[in-house]
Formats: sequence, C-alpha cells, structure tokens
Amino acid sequence: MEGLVSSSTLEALNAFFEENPSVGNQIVDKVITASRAREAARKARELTRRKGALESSGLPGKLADCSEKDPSLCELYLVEGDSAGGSAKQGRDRTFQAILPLKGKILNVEKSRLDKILSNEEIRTIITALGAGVGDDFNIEKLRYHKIIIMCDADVDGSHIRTLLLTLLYRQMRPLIDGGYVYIAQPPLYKIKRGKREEYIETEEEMSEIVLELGMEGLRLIRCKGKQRYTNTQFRDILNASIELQRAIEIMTKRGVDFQKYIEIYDQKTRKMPLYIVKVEGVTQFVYDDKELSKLTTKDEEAQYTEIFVKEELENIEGRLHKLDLSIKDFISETVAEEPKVVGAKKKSTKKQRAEKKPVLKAKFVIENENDKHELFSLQEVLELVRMQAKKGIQIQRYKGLGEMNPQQLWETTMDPEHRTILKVMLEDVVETEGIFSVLMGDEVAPRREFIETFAHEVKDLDI
Amino acid sequence: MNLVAKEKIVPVYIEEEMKKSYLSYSMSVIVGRALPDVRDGLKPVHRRVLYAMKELGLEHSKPYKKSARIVGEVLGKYHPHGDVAVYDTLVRMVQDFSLRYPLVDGQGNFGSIDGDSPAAMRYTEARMAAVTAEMLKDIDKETVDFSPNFDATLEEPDVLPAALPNLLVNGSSGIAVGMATNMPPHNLGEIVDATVYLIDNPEVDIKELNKIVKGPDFPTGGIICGRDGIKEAYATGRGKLTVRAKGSIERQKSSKDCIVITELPYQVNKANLIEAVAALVQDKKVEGIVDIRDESDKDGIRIVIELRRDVEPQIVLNYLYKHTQLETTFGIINLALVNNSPRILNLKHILSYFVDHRRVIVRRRTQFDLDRALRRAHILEGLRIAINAIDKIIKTIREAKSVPAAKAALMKNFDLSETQAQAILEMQLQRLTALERSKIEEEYNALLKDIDNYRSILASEKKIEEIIKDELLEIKKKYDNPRRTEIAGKAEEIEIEDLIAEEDMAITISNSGYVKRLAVSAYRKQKRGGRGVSAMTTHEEDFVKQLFVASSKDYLLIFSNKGIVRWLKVYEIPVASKNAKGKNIINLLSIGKDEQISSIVAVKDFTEDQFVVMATAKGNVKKTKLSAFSNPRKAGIVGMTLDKNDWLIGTELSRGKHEILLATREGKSLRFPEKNIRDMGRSARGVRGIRLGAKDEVVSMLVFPPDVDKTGSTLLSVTALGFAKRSEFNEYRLQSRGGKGIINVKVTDRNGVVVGALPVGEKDEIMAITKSGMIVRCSVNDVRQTGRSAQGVRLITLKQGDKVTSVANVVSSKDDE
Repeated sequence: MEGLVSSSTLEALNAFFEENPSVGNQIVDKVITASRAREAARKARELTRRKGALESSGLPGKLADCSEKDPSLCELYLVEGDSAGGSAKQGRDRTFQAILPLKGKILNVEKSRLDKILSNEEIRTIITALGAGVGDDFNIEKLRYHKIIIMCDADVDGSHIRTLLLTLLYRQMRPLIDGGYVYIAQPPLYKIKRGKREEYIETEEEMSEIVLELGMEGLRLIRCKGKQRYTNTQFRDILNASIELQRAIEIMTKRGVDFQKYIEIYDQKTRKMPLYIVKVEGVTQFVYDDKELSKLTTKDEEAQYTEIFVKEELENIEGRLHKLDLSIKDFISETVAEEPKVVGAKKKSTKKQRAEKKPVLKAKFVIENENDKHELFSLQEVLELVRMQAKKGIQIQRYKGLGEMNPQQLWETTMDPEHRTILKVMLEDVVETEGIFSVLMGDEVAPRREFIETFAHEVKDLDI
Repeated sequence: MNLVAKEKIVPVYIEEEMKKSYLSYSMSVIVGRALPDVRDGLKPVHRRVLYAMKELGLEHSKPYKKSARIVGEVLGKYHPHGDVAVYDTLVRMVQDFSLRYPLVDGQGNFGSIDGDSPAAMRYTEARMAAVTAEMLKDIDKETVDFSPNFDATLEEPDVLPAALPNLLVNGSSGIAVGMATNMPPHNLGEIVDATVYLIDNPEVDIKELNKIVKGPDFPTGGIICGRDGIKEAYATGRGKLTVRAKGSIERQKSSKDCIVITELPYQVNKANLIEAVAALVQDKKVEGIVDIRDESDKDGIRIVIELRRDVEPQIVLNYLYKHTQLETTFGIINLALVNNSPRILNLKHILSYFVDHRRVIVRRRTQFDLDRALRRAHILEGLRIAINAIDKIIKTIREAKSVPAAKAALMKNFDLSETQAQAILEMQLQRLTALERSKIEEEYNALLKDIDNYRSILASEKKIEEIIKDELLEIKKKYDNPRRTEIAGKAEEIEIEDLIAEEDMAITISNSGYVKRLAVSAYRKQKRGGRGVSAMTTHEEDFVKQLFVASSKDYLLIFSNKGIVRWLKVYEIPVASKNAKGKNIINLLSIGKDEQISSIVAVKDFTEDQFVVMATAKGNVKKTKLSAFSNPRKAGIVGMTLDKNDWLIGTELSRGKHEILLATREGKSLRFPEKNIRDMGRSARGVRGIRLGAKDEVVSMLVFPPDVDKTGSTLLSVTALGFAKRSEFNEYRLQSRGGKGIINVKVTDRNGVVVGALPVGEKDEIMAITKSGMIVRCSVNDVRQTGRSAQGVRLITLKQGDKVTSVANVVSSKDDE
C-alpha cells in the first residue's frame, strides 16, 4: 500500500514540479535554508555541550588555561601567531592568565554564513575557550573569563587581525562587547636604551616627546634677527609645532602638493590658507574656499583639484608660531626657494648649494651649547639637529612583532596588571558601529573603497 | 601584598578602533604591498629582492648564489615578513612563463607551467638576469631617493632607476583592499617604440599609440581575440581580453583527427587544464574525445587531443574553448601607484609617467656626474699648479713642521683650497714623471669637456629626451624579442550553435506542454510494421499533440495566449529517449504567470515569402511576414497586440495563397482566402476575421491549401457535451472576410458548444479530454461523415456535469517510413 501511495505521489509531484518550476524552486530554497540553520544550530550546540560534558578536557589543546576557576578573576589573551603565543605562555602569571595563540588571519565572519563560521577551526577554538556559546545561544553566564584581551603585533597585519577578531566578537558574541569584557593589549612600540637605562615607549606621541626631550638637553636656540634667545618652553613649543608641520607637509606632498608653492601663495596678514589646489588648463592655482572652487570648475570642466585636508592644522600651527613671532615660512630655508629647482640627491646637494650661497644668505637661527655653535637656516634644520642630537648615545628599537620580546619583557610591558596599559573596548553608538562593520568587513567593495578614499589622509603612520 | 594595581585602563570606542586599525591596514596594503609603482612597475617586495641581489653582487656575469641567501638578505635587511612570500616572489621573477622578461636568472627547479612547485630555496640558486642591470643602472649615482629600512639601520631605494619600462613589459597583478590591479605584459620593442614616439609627439592620442603597441604580449603566447578589449583598456585603463590557446587540427590519414594545443593562455596551469578536459570527457559533457596526451617536452608545449572518427574537430575545439581554460578572460585593470596613491591609468598615462621618471633619473645622474667631475677637476687644477711649481711646493712642505702646517702653508702660498692642498700632500712622487704629467693634463682636458657636456645636458630638456630615447633604443636592441601572442581580429564569439552538429530532430509536444527531441535517426532504427513504438510516454491524461521534424538549429516560435512570441532553438529542447516524458516547456522559457502556450510553429529560415497567420478569440485575424520574427529576444516580443479580454487562439505558417477557416463556439464558421488579409507589422492588431454573435468566440483557426478537398481531408468538430461531427470541406463555401459565416455545427442543449475544430484525414485518430481528466481516443473513421449542419454523433459519454475541454489530432505514433 505504502509503495503505491508513494509511487503515485511521486509521479504527481514530479509532474507538478515540472509544470510549476517556480513553486518547486521556492520549496527547495526553503529546504536548503532550513538545513543550513539546522546544521549551524547543531554545531553551536555541540560546541557548548562538549565543554559541559567533558569539563576542561574538552578545551582546545592550544589553550594554556589558568589555574584560577573564578571567571571574574580570569583573563584570556588572544594572541596573534604561535611565535608570540609561546612567549606569552612563558611570560604570563598562570594563576589567572590564560593564553590562546591564534594562527594567521581568522575568518571574516561578516562575509560568511553561520555554518561556515562554525566549521572554522580557529573560530571554534575561540568559542570553546570562552565557553559561552555563540550567536543566539550565547550565554554570558557561562563565560569562563571576564577579561578577554586581544594582543596583536604592532604592525599592519596585527591591525587587520584585530579588526577580524572584533568582528567575530561583535557579530557573534555581542554581549561581550556590551558588557565591556573585551580589551586590547598595548605592547610597547619602542625600547630606548640609554647607557644602562631601558625605557619602553607605548605610543608615537610619547616617542617624539622623549626624542625632543633628549635632543634639547643642553641646547639653546637663538634667533639671529634681534638676537632673541628663546626660553626652553618656547624652544619646546617651536619644536612641537615643527613636528606637526612636518607631518602636514608629508601628507600634502603625498597628494602632490608642493609646499614651497603653497606657502608662497599664503598671505601672512590674513593668516588664511588656501583650501584647494586647482589645475586649470595646465596652470596651477590655489583657491581659498568652495565658492571660488566652484567658479573655477564651472569655467573649465576638466579642472582637476586637490583638497588640502590639513588646512586647519596648518592654520593652527601658524597661529602658534605667530605668537613666537615666527611663521610657517621659516620652516624651510629660503636658499632652496631661490635656487632654480635642481633635482639632485636630497641632502648633499642642498648642503652644497647652501655652502655656495653662504655669503649671500644669513643664517636665521643659532643653536649652541657649551662648546659648539651651529648656524641654521630653517626650522626644519633646527628640528633635524635636535633629532640628531637625541639619537646620539641612545639605542632605539622599534618593536614590530610580539615575538621580538623576551617572555620577561612581554610580562613587564604588556601583561603585568601592575604596570600595563590596556584599552577597554566600549560600544556607544550602535548605529554608527553597525555601519562601520558592514562597510569595512562586508561583501560590497564599492563602499569600502569609498571609505578608504575618504579617510585616506587621516592615516598617519604607514608601515610598509 | 596589598598593593593597589597601577593598571591603566583606557576606554576606546569599538568603531573608532575598527576604523583606525582597518585604515592603517588597508592603506598599507594599498601603498606598500599589493600595488606596483608606476615608475618601475615593482611592488616593494620585488624592489627589495632586486636591491638585495644587487647588494649581494649577483650581477648577471657573476656566479649564482643560493636562493636561501638572497631570501635571508631580503628578510633581515628590508622585508620583515614571511620567508615563503619572499621566496615565492623570487621564484616568480625567474619563471619565463610568468614574466615576459624574467628579472632573475635561476639555476635549478623553479617550477613549471604544470603548477609543479619549485625546489626548496636551499637547493636553488639565482642571480640577476641580464635585463635587470637596466632596472638598477645608475642607482649608485644618487638617482633615486632612499628611505631607512624597518629598523633604521640601513637604507633602501624608494624606486629603482628602471631604464626598462617594467610595468608595461612585465605587467603586474595584486589584490589590495577595495581595489585590485591586473596588468598584462607587453612586447619590449613595441613599448620602446611607443615611448620614443610619445617623447617626440607629446600630444599623441591613444589611438595612435595603439597602432604601435598592438596589444599585450603574454610570455606563454596564445591568441588574443578581438581588439575592442585592448582599445578600451588602453583608453580607459580597464578592459577585457579574451585569450585563447593556440590549437591546430591535424588530420590523420587513418581519418582519426587530432587537436594539437601548442600555446596556452597566460596563467593557465597545464596540468589542471588537462584534468578539466578529462573530466568533461568522463562526465560525457563532450563527445568524441578518445584520448588526451600531454606530449610536452623540452621543445615546448604540446597537448594532443585525439578524436573519434565521426566527430567534427572544430566543434570539439569550440566546445573546449567555451568550457575549459583553453580560453580565458583577462580583465585588465591598470591600477598603479602615482605619488603613492592608487590611480587607474590609460596607456598614455603609464608611458608619460615612465618618461617623467626617466627624465628625473637622467637629470640626477648627470648632476651627480657633473658634481663628481667638478670635484675631480678642482683637484686636478691643484695638481697642475703643484707640478708647475713643484720645487716651491717641495720647499714649502719641507719647511713645514707638521702636516696641518704644511697644508696651511700650501693653501696660503699657492692659493689652494683645502682639498687641493690635501691632494698635493698625498701625491706620489711618480706623478712627477713626464708621462704622468701629460696624463694629468689629458685627464683635465677630458674632464672639462665632460663638464661642458653635462652642463649642456642639464640646461636642455631636449638633450635629456635624446638620452632617454637612445637608452631605450639600446635596450630594445639588446633585449627585444619577437611578439609571442598573436592578436586576431574580432573573434567569432563561440555560440552554442558552433558546438552543435546540424541534425534532423523529431520534436514531440504533448497536450500539457511536455517537449522533447530525439534524432530522427533514432526512430529509423525501429522495426516497421505492427503498432510501432510510442514516441513519448505521457501522463495518463496527456497525449502527444504535435510531432514535427526540424533541424537542430531551427527555431521554434512559441506564441502565448497573450500574443507574446518567444524563441526556442531546437537544440535547447532536451534530448530524451523515446520513452521519456521530456521537459515541460515552461522550464525552457521565461513565461509570465497567467500566460499559457497557445501555439508553436517550427521555422527553418525567416524568409520573406512566408507568413504567420494568427487568430484571436474575438475574431481578429492577422498576417505578418515571417521575417518580422527573426530577431530573437530572451523575454520575447509582441507577436500581436490584443484587445482587453481577447486572447490568441491559433497561429499557423502559410505561403500567402492558402485559405483560412475560423470555427466558433456557437457553431459558426467562416472560410475565406488568405489573400483577404493584407500583411501587417509585427505588433499590429489585425483585422476582423469573423463577425461574432454576442457571447460567441473563435475556438479554432484552420489554414489549408485551396485544393484541400482533393486530399481527402475533412473538417471534424467536437462539442462540449461529447459529440463529434465530420463534414467535407467543400460544404463550406468560400466567403469574404468579416462576415458572420455559416453554420458549422448546430449547437443545441444536447450536444453543447463547439470546443474545437480540426482538419483530419481518414486514417487519423483524435483525442478529446474532459474537465475531469477523462480522455477518449478514437479513429476518425468512427465518426460518420455528415452534412454541415448536423449535430454529430456521440464521441464520449460524460458523467453528470463533465465537459469536453479540448480536442486534438493524435500524432500517429507509427513510423510510416
């Protein structure tokens, strides 16, 4: 009987689906979606159940767990790479710090379906180690560590891995972010060795601060015009402004703006800087605001223009220099400006040209200490000299990978709760955050590209 | 230990952190990893490998060194990343199937086009290729800027002097974030010529450059099909190329033909390709391949595909082009870094940036030479003074207490500079011989000439350009080799048609829309006599309505009740065995929800002398030239514009001299000559065919030759309550179009309205289906021939409330041949 029913049903259904393909397709789609969901749910259940059933022996082998059982005291370090994982294991305090080394770049969960996410070995390891499940089944009560610390190298790949991990945590374990359980470790960027003293530096700002500090020691800056002698604080201010200016110039040069020409056009009285550079019919022009720009671009449709994003910064710097009776024009020496532009090897030829011009041009600044005196022609040179001075007798080591540090160093600088600095990941603007994740990590390329183009100028340190 | 933790916890917002981290990653990848610089065409890792090799002294004339040493040098000094990545880079620069002009000369196994991996770096050895010297030439003359390496202990070049237009000749490919680059390699000779031409004619437009640079030139040869993609890529920076393997057909005496592949498209892995072909054969996707042999050897690539006797080699080759990597698409994206920001570049941009770069290099090199010559001349001037006054000089030196004193005295007494004085002090006594003295004189004069020369170069843009041109032409002379990739005109797009052999097909269409096709030859193989074999298995209440023979490349015009025509090529109908049901035609067409197939017409050629005759339920008829239907569109086109509440009931082909008969529900009929309808445009509404009564509608249209009576054909009509009636055609007199017509069937309460009328022969069989799915099949003979206005005989006894819904001529399943 059953055979008859099923064979005739089959025949009728066959005919029906043959004649109504759209209904058939819909049913098949539904079946596929349902099966994917089932599969994902099964995997998620398995991950949580396995932990409960087998206790800690179900934990991934790579995890170096801690001996403390109270989750509120425990920390889990997600470490980039096996090489750093090793030193983290040796350098940690095993009572409350657990280490989970991750290999390579983890899967981008924004682009993958849940079942694929759960098939990924690296991600399963993380889920199992945290012990609280994933997705809708996430149960914060079961969380095994109340501090989850992402520890990546201080290079660009480290940044990438950090974004991938944050995407995983945000998309699949959202309560972790909401509850403020996620932290980012801050390994030092530099080590400075001066004689026997060692110092770790965490940020670029700190670094340049220290370099100036060291460089200025024992030096005095005198302005030739009027023999004005700057105080140490003034000297410091000048240097700080010069550093910022240098960075701004770098950004401009990268975008093909010639700083030399830019300041020629700048009007020292109004202290207003041009906002755009426009190329109209092969002639380069500087423009101060949008109105003028639209005037020019409507005249010549093919006009190419570049926005000077650092305009405000430049104006700010100019304001500060102005208080010291200086201007950004003092940043570069005038000799170069008058010389017909000769493309020679950067440093040597400029020095040489200067040597030739010496009798014509007077030095603007003098830097002196007890037994030496330097005549200088621009703030740029002042800055250079201070930097040179700073580098004398100290050893600077730039850390790129965590693996460069000894376990002991890693503990002292990054992991020791007594001394470390960690960043606590907070969620404030959910709408903004959602947007950022889907633009940066999502499937569509166009918005990402747009994002990169919009913010490209904000990137300060490129690491190649 | 009750210390308060001094831990610093700094809050960061997740979106800020994401933004910052992602930006620094993506920008670094864009600027410093995945994209080449427009000037030297190298990504940082390539540049670092080449520079490290130069620092290791691995010129082409020097012996090879172990790859591991090079990789170590690159890693330790410039490139703090994985060793595998660096070795892979090195390997690629060796492979003559990856680079058009390999930059590294390798010793050992560097992999093959089959995708075999190279030997480990501890085995292989490498040195620079001869052409690489051009990339690095003059780098020691302060021609390029240097930047500190990752730990600021060494310096590395930002760009190489690159006398070779490397970006164009070797191409590049890379995926960054949000953007990617894919540039094909080119022929050096063509690029050099184009560059020289551009220098001479800065205003040249891209079309003219395109005449010199014919197109990409892949190291693996192959054929680029179509120039449009090339033109577009050169003009806009983006374009698509179709690249085909070079294959020839070798006719053998044994009449078994072979396809021989001798060149592959760029970046196609030969082993994978052969596997893919084999898989197609195994899955029976392609017929007629007997054997595939890879006969490649030291002389080059040779893949032999042996074919069965009876297949057309071109069709198999076409199929392979279409379905394997024997044909690939190369999507060009000319994205490169200009001033460290990524830009899409057209051909002229790329060339001009290269020329600009060369200008800078030549200028800086000349400046360097000039400076050096000036310094030397300065010293020589000092030496000349010394030689001319040698006795005084010696005296001065002898009187001096110390070296500094001697120097000071020299400077003072002879008006010498410090460097000159130093040089004199260091002078060897052998310099004082007559021969040496004249040498100094000669050198000095030569230097003066050089200095003049350098100065004149620096003063003249023209001279710099001449130098650039000369150097380029020199490079062309040394390294150019003939183009490998052939550029063929607009390739014949391979249509599916080219893959299908012309063959007669029997197409069967069932009443409920199942279609299939079968080669006519398959029917012939049956035995004759008896009842024959059924041509199609159908569902119980279905039957074969139409069977016709058409060539596999013929069209089926499928008309829906809404007057839309769709096309189906005969080969698009699935081939099925004679017992199969086939596929429902809905699956083959994109058909609207409430649309139904009304009629199907098979067409071989869309000739001018054939017409499509159509009729609607509301009595409109229309005639349109068949040629009006010759431009297929996937979604279909309007075959006839219909009024609201009207629908198409029938379509037939005619030659313009036929006659038409319309039969209505209420038993009326009108026979008129086809000539009465003038031919109209495709989307016309048509003209009145028959004037209908209030509730009447046309149910059938018949098209037949005027001499229909002589063929023994009769007109059979079937009514809703199961009656059938048959009359001779000559009972229906020829009238003119637009009239009310004459009675066909007397419609009464007993027999019901007419559901269909059709021409039948004496030996035909008809089938009628009822609303409840009852079906009756009977021989035409069983329906007695009667006069025109008869009510007819009972065909089927119906249950209460059941009605006949349609009737059709059963296509005889017997093969009459």
